[in-house]
Amino acid sequence: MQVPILNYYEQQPEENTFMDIMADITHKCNMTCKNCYIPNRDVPDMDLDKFVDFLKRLQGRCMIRIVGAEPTMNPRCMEYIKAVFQYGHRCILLTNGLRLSSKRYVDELHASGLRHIYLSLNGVDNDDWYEKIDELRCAKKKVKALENIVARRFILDTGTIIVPEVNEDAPERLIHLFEQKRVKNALMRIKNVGQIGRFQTEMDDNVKLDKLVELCSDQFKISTDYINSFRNKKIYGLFQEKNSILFPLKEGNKILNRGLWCKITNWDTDNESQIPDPNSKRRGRVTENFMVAPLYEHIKMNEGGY
Amino acid sequence: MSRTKEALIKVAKDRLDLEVTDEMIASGKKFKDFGIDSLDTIEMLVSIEDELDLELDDTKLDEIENIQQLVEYLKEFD
Repeated sequence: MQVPILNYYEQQPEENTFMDIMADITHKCNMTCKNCYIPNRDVPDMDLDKFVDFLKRLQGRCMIRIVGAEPTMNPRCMEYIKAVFQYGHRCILLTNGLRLSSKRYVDELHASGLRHIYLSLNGVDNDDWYEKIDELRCAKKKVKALENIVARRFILDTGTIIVPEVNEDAPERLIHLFEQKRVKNALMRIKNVGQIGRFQTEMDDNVKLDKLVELCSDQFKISTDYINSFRNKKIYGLFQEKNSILFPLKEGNKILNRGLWCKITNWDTDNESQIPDPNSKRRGRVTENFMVAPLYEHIKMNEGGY
Repeated sequence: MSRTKEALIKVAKDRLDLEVTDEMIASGKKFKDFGIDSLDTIEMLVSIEDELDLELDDTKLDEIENIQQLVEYLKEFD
């Protein structure tokens, strides 16, 4: 049966209207996480010259999200990052952090011009959680990566998928870890399991958005009313996203990522194609032929492929 | 020129491709009037901290809305 695709289209780079663009520079990975939107490892690395040409032609100043599978598995990762800056765009690296447990590698990233890193911390500092979610007892390396990132003063986003009956205490544990490691500034991205690619929790058993709010409220010790007061507010002052709630843990904080912030995102959206964030005008993705397409519609079109 | 103002000018040029001039500072216009959004702001602040090896006070930063105010605040570290 053909899966219905919501509003799929492609744009030439010169016609780009997206602000955040995912560039999957490799499909290789050094982990085998149970939740992965691109589990196919047989795709060759993105052609660097074509990527540079894409950036040269890309309309608007964009946030280019250097991602994979695991982008640091591409031996030329730094060159992709440098190219992003060379053409006046912004850049964030989305990583599982295993390679960033090396201080030298983190120094190289800093030297490439990168200042913003998204570190996946599904198990926070708990090996049992990592094993159940990401199939690897890697807490030590993750924590080391966190230390290196903070020591080098990168802007830090962390990403944690909440899996029912596994890591529902993750928000509290993150706060504890941040206190231990003196992480003062971070955006904690808390989400449920997306129903795309490879995933371990079916929709019916997934943690719903209201439950995510409840977990964060309990564990951050702030009221649900406070969190809910940020619903439907514009993200980054630009985009109204009904599936996301962005808020500072301390009331009154105004500068994003200064102090502790949280973004709760519902990846388990109830639409016919189960696409997280359908019809997004914010998130795009570089396609195999170096066009730009809406992120999740493109992933769904290529599920199990690119 | 003070070392903090020099750092601000360098960071704005390197990170945002923005030429900060005395006229721009004196205009008192808000960051957004120069196309500096929330993501640029945090990147600029982190880069200034990095450049000057100091830690800026978030409570004070929350009050800052334009380059003039930022220059004034940074004078504390000269």
